[in-house]
Amino acid sequence: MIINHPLLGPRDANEFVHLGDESLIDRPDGMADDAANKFHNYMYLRDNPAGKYRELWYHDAGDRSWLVVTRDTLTHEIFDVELARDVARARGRSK
Amino acid sequence: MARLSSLSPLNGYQKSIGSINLCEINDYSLVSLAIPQDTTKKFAKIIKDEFDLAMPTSVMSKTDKKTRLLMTQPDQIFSIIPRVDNPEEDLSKTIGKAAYMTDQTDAWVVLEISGATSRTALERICQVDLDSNMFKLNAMARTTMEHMATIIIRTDVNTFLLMSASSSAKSFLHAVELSAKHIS
Repeated sequence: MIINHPLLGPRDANEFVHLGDESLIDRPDGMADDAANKFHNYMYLRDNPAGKYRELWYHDAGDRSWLVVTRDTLTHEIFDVELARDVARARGRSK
Repeated sequence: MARLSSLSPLNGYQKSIGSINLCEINDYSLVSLAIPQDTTKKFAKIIKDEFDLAMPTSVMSKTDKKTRLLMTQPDQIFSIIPRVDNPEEDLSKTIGKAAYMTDQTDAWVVLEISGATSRTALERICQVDLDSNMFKLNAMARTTMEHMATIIIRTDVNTFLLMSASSSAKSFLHAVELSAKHIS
């Protein structure tokens, strides 16, 4: 599988480590009243769709960037690759 | 008081295998420069003033005869400069105002591979497309060779610098040497 890195171009998937659902970017506020419930959802609940899925990948053997990869879990077709940093900043994160 | 200096990881290794020349490069100092958030423009200006070089990109290094700059990841630059005892101290007066510096000289081993068939030897262990139309002069990539993290830089048509961790220098040399032997 080839991942089209937004900065580096096409790279073999074995340079990357797969982490999981991109919702891990949205870490809940640990001080909120319902923090326990939100952290339970954050840690354990996943949709696991058969089809398009947005996942976090880490370029471990490359530039050490975190990516959000939109992949079809049935065919492994990759539709989009974004820097996780850009995704987080678009959601209002400062870093 | 005696002055101690470290040995290079491969002790100045040099060998010809068929038409391939392999040698360790150890006359450099390597300093990692981490750019604080939102100060890239300031850093680029200081780099220009200090080295007279533009900012490297994630796929292309910048070099003059003495210095080579690599962008190893977003907001991190490696500067490879002629060897000095304390590169952090030397750079702190200028670049130190715009980046967090770490002397990484002893953490890396640098091999130079050259010769007409160098690319053929590398093709066996490197996943990056090294065709000269794709991987041009001064192009760089962080990748793996035989599961070891590697930075590869093209310095001439058939010459490449290979950087890997000094802790696994001998394993890395073995991988490159073996590949050269297999095509010779």
